[in-house]
Amino acid sequence: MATESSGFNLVPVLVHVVAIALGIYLGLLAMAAITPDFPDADTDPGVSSSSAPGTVAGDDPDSLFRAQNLAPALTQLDDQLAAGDGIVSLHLEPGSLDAETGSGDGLFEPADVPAEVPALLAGQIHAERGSVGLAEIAYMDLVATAKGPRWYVQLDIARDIGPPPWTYGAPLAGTPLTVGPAPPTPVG
Amino acid sequence: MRYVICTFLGMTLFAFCWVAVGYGIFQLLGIGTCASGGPYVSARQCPDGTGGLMLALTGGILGLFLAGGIYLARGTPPGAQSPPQNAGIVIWFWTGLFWALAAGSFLAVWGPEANPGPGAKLGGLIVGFMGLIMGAGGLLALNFRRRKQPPAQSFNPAVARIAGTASRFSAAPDPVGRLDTLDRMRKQGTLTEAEFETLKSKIIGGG
Repeated sequence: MATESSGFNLVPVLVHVVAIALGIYLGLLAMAAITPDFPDADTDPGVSSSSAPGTVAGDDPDSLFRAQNLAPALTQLDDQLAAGDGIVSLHLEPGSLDAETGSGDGLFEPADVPAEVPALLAGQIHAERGSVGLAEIAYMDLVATAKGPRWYVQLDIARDIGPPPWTYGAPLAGTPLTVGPAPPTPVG
Repeated sequence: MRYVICTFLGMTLFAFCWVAVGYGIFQLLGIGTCASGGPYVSARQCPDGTGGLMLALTGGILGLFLAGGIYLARGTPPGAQSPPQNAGIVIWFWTGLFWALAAGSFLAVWGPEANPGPGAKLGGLIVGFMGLIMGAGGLLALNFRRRKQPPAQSFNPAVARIAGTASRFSAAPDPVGRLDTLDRMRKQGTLTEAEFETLKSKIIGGG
């Protein structure tokens, strides 16, 4: 720092030292007052209904199978993704949406997911077998595979839905629907 | 009094903001990627106090500029004849800001209690190295400025004597009278033979 006078003067030195010490003390005091509890770093990104997620049925108005609910949920999920991370698999239930994330090729982002496809898939399944609607679907997975993201739909076998097949599959856009596929294998 | 008040306020605010910036980035990197608001409950919900940390970080950066302004207005120190040089101090404020960012980032990634949140490690390293380089740039500028300043002239009594004598003679209008005085000074021993010859040729040459 520049010399401020030709002769040594103790006052400027004292003022600087006391001011710096006080500033650091006050800074630490203020920061300690606003220090948050760190969230669990191992928690995967996801969203859930503000009411009990397990009680939401597939055909409820607030079901995440519906496009108008899934779209904001995907946006909220996107906010939780770390920079450079992509989604390996997305698990969609009527009351919750969970993502398994990773980094590498072949993964997708929330913005890539068409929010209207779950309802489209339910409509196609209903056309195949009339007893199945949104309420009879247990969950839908969207998995990043070597051939691109694929949907996997699991019907709720606890309900009276008749004989198998109880699983359906489709590419990202939702068509064509395949009947009774095995769960898709994720990339990596 | 103005010097003491401005120095005290400026340095206190500077140190406060330095802590706020460094501690703020450290804590934010510990939280990592998170979300708040929206119609659903996020799994990675931003904890309470995240907004305060954001405010501490941005407010700390702005506050450092304010601290610099207050400090630069401090005037002349008590007992000094001239005001202090400020350019070097401004550079120290600059370096302090960026090195606070770097220190907080590196501690969050590599420190003894480092626990960077999801996605925070890469971001912390980028901010850390950026802060380190930007702060070092300030010090380099300070060093460059010092080198550009001309070095202090060493005092040479002979040169000073000749210069003084020459200026006295150039003020006198009569060349003959000037030569006469010069000769007298040589005889008195005030001037050496070589100095006498130098000044004589100057007067004869019309200098």
